[in-house]
Amino acid sequence: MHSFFKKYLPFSKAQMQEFVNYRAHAIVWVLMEFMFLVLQYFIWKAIYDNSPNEIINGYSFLGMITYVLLVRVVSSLTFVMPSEYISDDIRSGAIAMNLIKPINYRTQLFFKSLGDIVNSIVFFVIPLVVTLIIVAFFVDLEVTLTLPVILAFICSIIFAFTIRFFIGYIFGLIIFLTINSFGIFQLRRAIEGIFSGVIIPLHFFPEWLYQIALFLPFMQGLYVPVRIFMGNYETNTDILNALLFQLMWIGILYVIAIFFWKKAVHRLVVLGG
Amino acid sequence: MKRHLTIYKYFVSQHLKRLIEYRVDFLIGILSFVFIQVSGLLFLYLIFQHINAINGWTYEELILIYAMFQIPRGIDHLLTDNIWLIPRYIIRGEFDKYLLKPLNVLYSIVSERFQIEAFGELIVGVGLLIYIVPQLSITFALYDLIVIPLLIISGAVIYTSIKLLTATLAFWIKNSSSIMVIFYDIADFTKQPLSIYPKAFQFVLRNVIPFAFTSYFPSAYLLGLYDPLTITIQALVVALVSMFVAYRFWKYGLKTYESAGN
Repeated sequence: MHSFFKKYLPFSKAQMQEFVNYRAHAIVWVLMEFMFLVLQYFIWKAIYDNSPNEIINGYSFLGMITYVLLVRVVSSLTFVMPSEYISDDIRSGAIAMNLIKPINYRTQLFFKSLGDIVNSIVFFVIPLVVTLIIVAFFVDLEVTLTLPVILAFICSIIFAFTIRFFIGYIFGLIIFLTINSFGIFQLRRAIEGIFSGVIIPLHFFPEWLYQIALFLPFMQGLYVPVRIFMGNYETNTDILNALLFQLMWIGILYVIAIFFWKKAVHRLVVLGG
Repeated sequence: MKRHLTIYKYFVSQHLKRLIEYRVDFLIGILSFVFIQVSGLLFLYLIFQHINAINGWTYEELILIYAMFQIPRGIDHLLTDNIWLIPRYIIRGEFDKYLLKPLNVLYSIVSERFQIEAFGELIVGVGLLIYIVPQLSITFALYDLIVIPLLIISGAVIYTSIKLLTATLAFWIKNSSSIMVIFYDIADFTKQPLSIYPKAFQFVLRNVIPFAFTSYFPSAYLLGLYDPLTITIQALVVALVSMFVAYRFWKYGLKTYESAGN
């Protein structure tokens, strides 16, 4: 166990250092996140100002703003890009070196992604949470936190991170099969945007669309932890079920990942390697 | 001029050949594009299940803005997409090859890529217009044959100018691509009626980063909120000033780059 971490932790550290080298990027990224929040704020404000009801689909205006903020917090806490690493490795030919090293490629990517998460926490989540706390002093954000909810939220975030890692990893392996990675990334981002709850809470969907979302893994990586934090699950059993459902998805994605990995290695075409 | 056009023809046909070669990629590109569009429209559709209008703008009118948003963006995407790669060329030292060509540097970069995927945006934009215009009480006059194309071209020029301006920063800071994205994405603010933002924001979107002229103002004009002469002159002035500033800045950056002897 000790040597396992000794072997893989340097990948996390390297990733963290890389980010520090690109401080300018970090600033731009944080700016972009805040810009997106501002845009969302004005859109929802206009919607609620024009709505005959103060509550839309169970969300008051403040509830919706809380939702939007939490979506940003959770998505940066689980933002990983294994597919980008795979595509970079393919393009540079480094994939061949990585495969002959006595290191599990998937574990290596996982630890690299962990490094990214630490960066997200330092550069984005902490500033945002501080903002959230300051805001909470002035307005009554609609969140009641209890110890079980906090514990469940932490668990759910860890599961969500793992789920998003596997989704990215599987998409990365699909790049082995089709070379144009940009198209695949865009496709994934678009589908994830709809079915994870980023553009709108999934309970706004008509029933049939919501059922589709339930059959896809994307909401497990975002919508579920956000709803746990907002206290939308009524009983502890509901929360437990939600967590077990996430765990089940991790299992399913793990199996799919192994399947694609076998396929991909067979068809590996090293460009410029 | 003639030589430039001939070269462009060769580049385009070369690009089309490449596309046929990677048919699967092309299909994936189309699919992802459809999903992006669907998610934008889905949001509007779901929201309007609960409200009748946003600051006086109905569902159909917001679809009109959405459609107008796509068209100048599509034109810019189609013709000048390679500007996105300028930071990468500079970082990798590939930029110097453009300096050696007996062509205008910007032209030889831009003409290298003809981004056929952009037809997706244009088809969606025009398709939605054809669908939505009959549902709105829009009347066209003869001068609209000039006014509307001018507004669209101005919109495309504004996109290109902002892209060029931010790409030029790469001469000093090397990787300016994330700054390019952030500025380009500001356009998203103009998918909504301008009146939902505070006055200061509206001012910026009209005069500083003038994306309001790419989607909002043309739509408002179609709905009869502005008179044709004023809006055309405003759009043209804004587009020309943007292009002038961006191109001067580009020239200045190029000179700095050359004299640094990279």
